[in-house]
Amino acid sequence: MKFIILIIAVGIVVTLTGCWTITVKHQVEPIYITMNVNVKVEKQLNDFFDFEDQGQDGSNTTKDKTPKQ
Amino acid sequence: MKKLNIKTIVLYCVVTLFSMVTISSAQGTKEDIKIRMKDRFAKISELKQSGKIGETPLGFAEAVNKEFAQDEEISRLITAENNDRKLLYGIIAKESGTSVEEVGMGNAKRYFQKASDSDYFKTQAGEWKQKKDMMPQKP
Repeated sequence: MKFIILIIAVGIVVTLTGCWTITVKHQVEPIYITMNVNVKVEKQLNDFFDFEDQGQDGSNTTKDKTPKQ
Repeated sequence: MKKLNIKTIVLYCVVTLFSMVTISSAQGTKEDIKIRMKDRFAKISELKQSGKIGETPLGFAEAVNKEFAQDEEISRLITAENNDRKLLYGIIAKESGTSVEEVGMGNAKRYFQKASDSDYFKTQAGEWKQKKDMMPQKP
């Protein structure tokens, strides 16, 4: 009888531990991948639109128009 | 005679395929898109500053109201700009292993960060607002 209770207790512990492991893995990996992709996309966009910072921006022209003291 | 016909058809197909690939690659490389967008940039910036066009949450340019949307020049510019953006987002999405929408939203975020306070942005609800009205109020 004691032996059966022991087996059931071990079974419950093993099952719960297994569930915890799966939950943690599923939460961590997608975040890491998404961040990685976002950084990659951000860098590619910044590299592509580098011409926007090369003095062609109209807002720079506006700034230049302010009278110098 | 039969052989000649098959050869002609095959040759025709190869030439057609080759020209299609050449045309599509000439329009769709990152460098070509960049040249076209660079040429358009000053005009697009001017229209943004005058409050005629704004940015959508998916990273595309759009006329802020119907009156501006009906203007032929504005409409032509927006169409050309968005066609190039669509091509660009597709290329970046493929290279980064993500979706076109994701890249577009990333670019919308970039435009918002770089925009001046008076620039217009379309909210998720479809309403046009100036950047200054979308920023959290300082206490």
